[in-house]
Amino acid sequence: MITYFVALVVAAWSIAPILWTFVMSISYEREIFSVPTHWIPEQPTSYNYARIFGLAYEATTVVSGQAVQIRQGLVNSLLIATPVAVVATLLASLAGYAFGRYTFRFKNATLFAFLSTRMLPPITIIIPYYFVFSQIRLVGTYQSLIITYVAAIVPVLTWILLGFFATLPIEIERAARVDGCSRLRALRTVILPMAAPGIAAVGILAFCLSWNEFLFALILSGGTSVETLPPVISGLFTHAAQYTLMSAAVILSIIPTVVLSLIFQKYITQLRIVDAVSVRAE
Amino acid sequence: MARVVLENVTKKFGENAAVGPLSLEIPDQEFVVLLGPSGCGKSTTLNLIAGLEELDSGHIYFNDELVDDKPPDKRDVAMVFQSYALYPHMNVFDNISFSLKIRKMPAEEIKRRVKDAAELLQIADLVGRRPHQLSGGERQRVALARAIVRNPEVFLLDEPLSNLDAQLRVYMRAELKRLHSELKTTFIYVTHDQVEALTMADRIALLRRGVLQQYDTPDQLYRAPSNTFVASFIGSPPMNFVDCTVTILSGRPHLSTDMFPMDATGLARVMQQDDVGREFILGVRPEDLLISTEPVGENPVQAKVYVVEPLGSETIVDVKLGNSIIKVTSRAESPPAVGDPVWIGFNKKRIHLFDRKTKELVF
Repeated sequence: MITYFVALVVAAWSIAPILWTFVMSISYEREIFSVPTHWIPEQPTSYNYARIFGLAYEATTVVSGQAVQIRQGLVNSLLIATPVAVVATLLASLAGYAFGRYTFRFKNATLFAFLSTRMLPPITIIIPYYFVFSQIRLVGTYQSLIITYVAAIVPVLTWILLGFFATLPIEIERAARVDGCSRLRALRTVILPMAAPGIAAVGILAFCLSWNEFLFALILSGGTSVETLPPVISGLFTHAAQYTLMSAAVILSIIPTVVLSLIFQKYITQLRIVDAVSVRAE
Repeated sequence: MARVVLENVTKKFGENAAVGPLSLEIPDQEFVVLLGPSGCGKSTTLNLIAGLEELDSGHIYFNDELVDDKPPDKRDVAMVFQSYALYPHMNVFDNISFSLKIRKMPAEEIKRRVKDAAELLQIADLVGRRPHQLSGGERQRVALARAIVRNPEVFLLDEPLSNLDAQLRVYMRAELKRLHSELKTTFIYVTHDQVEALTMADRIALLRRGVLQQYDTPDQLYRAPSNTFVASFIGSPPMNFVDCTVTILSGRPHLSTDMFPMDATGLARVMQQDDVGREFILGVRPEDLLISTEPVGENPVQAKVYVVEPLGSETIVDVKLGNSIIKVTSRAESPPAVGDPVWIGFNKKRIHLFDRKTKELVF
């Protein structure tokens, strides 16, 4: 009984800010400052969302600038997170298969080198990183963030997938080889379809990681036309802050990751479970 | 149809030699079983023949053609795995026809071959199902069908019956034998079950820790095991072993154990002068011993019943002879009870002697 109560308290503590943000996003600006607080708005509206999507009449240009910014930020985030998810998943699948299934010279050294890139706190490399990208004139482009995220995310995905591939039954691969598949064909026609749930899960993870990333997005895209949603939202906290609009932006920013995670949660949790095809007698 | 020859084949995993050096010749169209306890290298040997593992040294030939560097997809072998290894995302038809599609066979031909194989194995009505919808026996037959449609040079089977229940196993043993005689292809079969080996094989290669102990017909392995390991592995219950030394008693050579002396006249080999003092291990199978309440057979000795294990058709009686326990198989209607005094009789023609140091068969 007590466990449930505590869990309820913790859940409420976590969800309350998000709920309030949602309430703000469906309210008019003047209502959120009411005393006593209107926990459920008396005049709920979709005006804030409409503004973001360019479907509402804007009163002043300052205000409309913010809505356009948010809209552009949404589009940019999508245009970056989607190819990152696809490319990173593809590369990590191949690497994860190689590391998970084969032994080769310098395997451990290579794996360590691969993963050690994640041991540096990003903030320690941000300045030289910016220098390099500005030298090659990539600051303020989609490519800069796509390259950055793929490079950062592939090691993480590889680490997850190599464990996953190692648990796939090797006999099925062997059966494919004996049936006439080359290594690559066996991978394509037999192993990847079997690994599809795990790969889908890491694809979602890649999307979520790049969708939510703030520091590099700020440095490499802040103030440019390719600014992604996280820096856009943080930039809305000015003296001309419009809380209801910001709340709508925040809610919009968490919807894709939450929805994707809910749809694929079955596969994400399955990454930790070994599902053998059959059991060996010995 | 292929003759498979292994020449000084070795395979190491880390420091340990899993297999070899192993030399073996498997004649065309024969059913050869690689038999041995867990970890003896039989599955590794099969994987080497299939090309799924690389040789550390030695050579493998199919019909006198060297295949060392050929990958598995080029060796024209078909394999059935212990876990069946069916493709979980394909239905039965696609599983069986997979290898034919890769070889770009025409669709009509594929359909015909799959139909024939499915009918041969009585799974024709299962072709639309997925592996997770099949029972163990059905999966195994799909795995067999997948191998058959290929018409390969060699069939490799890695303990395919291990995961089946006892009744199905007995049924499938006969089915596999029937398949072998119909398909007239070389079968190389791996198992740790000596009953499977004895009932199905034309020839058995018994392995221990990667080393070949004996390669012979089942009958020869049973009657003339080349060492104590073979003698104890083949036959159930296993052969009894008693240490003995050749001595002279009453002017005649005897085998002296610490429980009884046995007159050496009448044994399959005549004792020579320099055999005196030599140390042997006497081996005799439980089914070659006689047990009775009266002295019976040759060289009868007295013993006491220790344990009785009824099996229905026969009874295994463990008797205490001195400090040793000897197993005897009895087909008597009413077997003795624990503690009863009994007489154990020998059949001197069925006694084996192994050298105590080398453990090898003398006769």
